[in-house]
Amino acid sequence: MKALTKTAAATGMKGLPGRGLGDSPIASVIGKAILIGYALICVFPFLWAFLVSLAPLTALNAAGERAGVDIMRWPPAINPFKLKVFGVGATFSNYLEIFKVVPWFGRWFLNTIVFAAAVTLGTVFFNTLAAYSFARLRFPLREFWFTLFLATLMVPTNAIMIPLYTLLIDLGFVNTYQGLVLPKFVNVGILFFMRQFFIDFPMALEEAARMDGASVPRTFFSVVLPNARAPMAAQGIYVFLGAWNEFMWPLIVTSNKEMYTLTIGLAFFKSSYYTYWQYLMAASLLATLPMVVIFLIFQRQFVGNAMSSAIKG
Amino acid sequence: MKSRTQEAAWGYLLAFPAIAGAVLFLVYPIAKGLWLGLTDYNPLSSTSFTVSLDIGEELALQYGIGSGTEDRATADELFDATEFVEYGLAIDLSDAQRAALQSFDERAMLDDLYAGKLAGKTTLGQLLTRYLPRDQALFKYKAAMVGLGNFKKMLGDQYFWITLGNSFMFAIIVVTLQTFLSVLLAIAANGKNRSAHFFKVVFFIPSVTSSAAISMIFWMLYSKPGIINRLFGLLGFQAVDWLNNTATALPSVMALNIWTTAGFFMITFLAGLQNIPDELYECAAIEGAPPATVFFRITLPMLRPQILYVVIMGTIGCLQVFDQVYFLIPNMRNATYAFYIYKNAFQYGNMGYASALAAVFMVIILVITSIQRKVIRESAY
Repeated sequence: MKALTKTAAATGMKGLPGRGLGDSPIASVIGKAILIGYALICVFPFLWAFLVSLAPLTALNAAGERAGVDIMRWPPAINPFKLKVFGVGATFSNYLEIFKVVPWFGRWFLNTIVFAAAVTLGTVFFNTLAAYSFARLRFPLREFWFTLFLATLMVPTNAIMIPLYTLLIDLGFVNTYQGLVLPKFVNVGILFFMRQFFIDFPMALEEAARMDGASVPRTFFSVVLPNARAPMAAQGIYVFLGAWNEFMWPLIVTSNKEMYTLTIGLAFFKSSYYTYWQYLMAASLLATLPMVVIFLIFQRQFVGNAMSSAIKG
Repeated sequence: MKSRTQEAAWGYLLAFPAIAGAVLFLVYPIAKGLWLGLTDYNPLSSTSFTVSLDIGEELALQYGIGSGTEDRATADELFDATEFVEYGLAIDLSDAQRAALQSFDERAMLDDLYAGKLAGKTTLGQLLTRYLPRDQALFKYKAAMVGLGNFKKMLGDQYFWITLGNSFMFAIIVVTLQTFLSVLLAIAANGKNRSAHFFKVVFFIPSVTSSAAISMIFWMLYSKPGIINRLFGLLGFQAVDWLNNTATALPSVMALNIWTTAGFFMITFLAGLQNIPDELYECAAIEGAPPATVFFRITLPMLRPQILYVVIMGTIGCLQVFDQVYFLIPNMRNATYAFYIYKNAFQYGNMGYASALAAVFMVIILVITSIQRKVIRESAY
């Protein structure tokens, strides 16, 4: 705290009242400048990568010779009306080319979709089941299991990669979808989140169903689950995002190019085609595009969730 | 209401997948990891018995025995398990192993081989144990217990200290700068302007894109002929090989890390700012407090819960940084602790030592988290 206060003072934040910068015209201008400046910093890497991905590998230069395109030049000589980047004609062909240069690229996409979808469905489903059980049903050793989950909450997954890997060897799961997916179902965070949701969920609905003689699973599937769709979907989006971007786990589990996910594929791409910036950028942007689209669709939920978790935290 | 037993049965049934998963993929690995940390387990050194071979091919290669029925008699005469392993495959055997191989059932193996049952690759360990009546354990790789040897080794391992130091430096610098930056951004965005949502979305994007793709993009930006050097060149600076230079590699990755997370944490602070009651500011205005006083006496103290949250999340995240280091840092001098664990386990095969490193890592994270949780609980108001 103290260190932070000092940092803030040293960097000259004295003029900022903290309640927005709209109070005085000067502060307003400074605030706008900061926002626009940082927005440019956020967008610039993606924008530059996009420009590079549009450039052909080689083009005719001024002397009429075929030569590599300078994709680092400043200014980038863009002409949107003549469809030019870096002074040469823009093309989308790199996006098609990468599927030919690295024939597994399509497979990696498929693997990533399978991995992320399976992890999302399994994680949300099984942890919701267990969360309901922990919230509402009494069974022997319930407190014991709950404490066990609580104790593992702080253990970083990076720290158990080695024994998990040896376990996958013993199970014969290395380089398989089940090896990639099954261990990822364990997600204590979601279990706790959903348990809290069920604890706060009004008991009356369930009691009415039980009075009518509905069994536990019937009550759960026909009364509880339909009402839990929103938090399940919210958690699901995060799990999907995390699985899509996951790096260390597929790096360890897969050694076969057919089993790579996109992130590991990118690492392979980097080591094999390290001078082909155009391909690398096309591949990177293609790999990340689905997540940006999902984020833009659900932007209000993402921002809203980030804000509410900050209040609770 | 149904009976209690029925409720308990359903309770277990619903919770079973999660409990089984946690025991198998969380509790058991934690225990096994701690145990491995006390051994010299190295799967690469066990290659002697995990070497894969096609026994039919080996016989043809080493004894010139073919696969036809007429070759069977020659095979019976020539093939001896001990000799095959020691001289044919050049694997050193212990006395116990040699004695055990005396009872190897050569005839049964050859029967299976000529019946076509042993086609394809298998491992030597599997082949030997299948035709041994006893002492199979001798031909499975077993790690030796080294007690606290791995932990003693760490004390003298310079890369243990270097990478641990790098990780802490990474966490301290990144957390400090990103907290400051995200507070600044939040204050700037907390006005009455209608464009606030637009900026939130733009600042958020780096945190939803994959670290692999982002690392790749920054790899290009940071490269020696890259655009960052070009822009600096316009200002008259010399080109720097950002990622290959040991002085600039880690700071470059730190900058990238701040870039990916600052926007996300800015939203955290924005939520905190909007939670500060207006009355506080109105009082300050009536009292005529200067902006600096307002900031340090109202804004910062009221943001305390969010600052703690960001510092905790940031510290834990930073200490575990792996992806960006894997992608961008070529020199072990600049690597982080998480990467050093990975390197030991999956590239050198020193899984015992790496497990000990991981145990230390786990303790560090647990200590930091519990200290910070305590701080949070004390400061909760």
